[in-house]
Amino acid sequence: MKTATINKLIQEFDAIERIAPSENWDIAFQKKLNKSRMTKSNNVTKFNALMLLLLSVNIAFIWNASKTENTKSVDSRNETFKIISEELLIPNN
Amino acid sequence: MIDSNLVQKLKSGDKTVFNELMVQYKSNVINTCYRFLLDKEDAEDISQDVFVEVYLSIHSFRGESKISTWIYRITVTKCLDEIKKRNRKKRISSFGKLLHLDDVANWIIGGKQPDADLETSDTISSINKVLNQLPDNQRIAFTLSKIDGFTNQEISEIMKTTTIAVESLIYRAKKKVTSDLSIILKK
Repeated sequence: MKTATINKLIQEFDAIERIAPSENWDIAFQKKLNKSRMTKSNNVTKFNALMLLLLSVNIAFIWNASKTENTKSVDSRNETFKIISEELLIPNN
Repeated sequence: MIDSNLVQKLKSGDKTVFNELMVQYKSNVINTCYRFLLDKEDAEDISQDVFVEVYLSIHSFRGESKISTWIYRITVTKCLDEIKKRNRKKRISSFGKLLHLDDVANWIIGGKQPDADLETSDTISSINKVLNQLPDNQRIAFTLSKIDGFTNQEISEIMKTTTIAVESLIYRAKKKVTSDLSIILKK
């Protein structure tokens, strides 16, 4: 009895009829496609803007770091010269 | 049209070829979705998503399989994603019911008690319950085997596996469906 019911259920499932696309399938599809295209191009623009921002931050950081390094090295060289000249008792002027 | 020629035209953005492709596969894709989702509106919705994906990612199609296989692979993936989404929603909603969140929300907006969910036919609802218990690969093999026109060879290409493996998956799925249905009938 139970097996018969199960078989009947499976047969009913097997016999599910094919469906046809509704009339507005194409319109809905076109809308989705346009939306996805727009989202995709927006995402590309956002990604490019982010990359540009990161690049400029990076360049600014490197430029700033190299400038500080130069100033520091000149300062420390002057300091060393001063110490040596004082130790050798060479007048500064 | 030979596949490689067709793919080349699709990649170059030929809209006529894309429309031809859609005319050729639309019905089968919708019906494949319907077999998985057992809901006409959802099937239409997901089939549209499938063709959007086909249009947007045709450049990534390497031509290692037939274009039909690729399209059905996208279809199956989208359907499984939708099923997972549904199951997640169901879990959240049952958690909400447990906490009576629906009643609270209804009380806040001054609404009435919700009616009982509209039930689909008993057969579809019980088969759906059983299919939800199947592992993904068994569900794919079993469902595709029920659709006219899919041979085990084609199913194996879609699932990137062997024909023997597909036969085994279908066998195991049938066995599990039968035993689970008998449990449901006992209740």
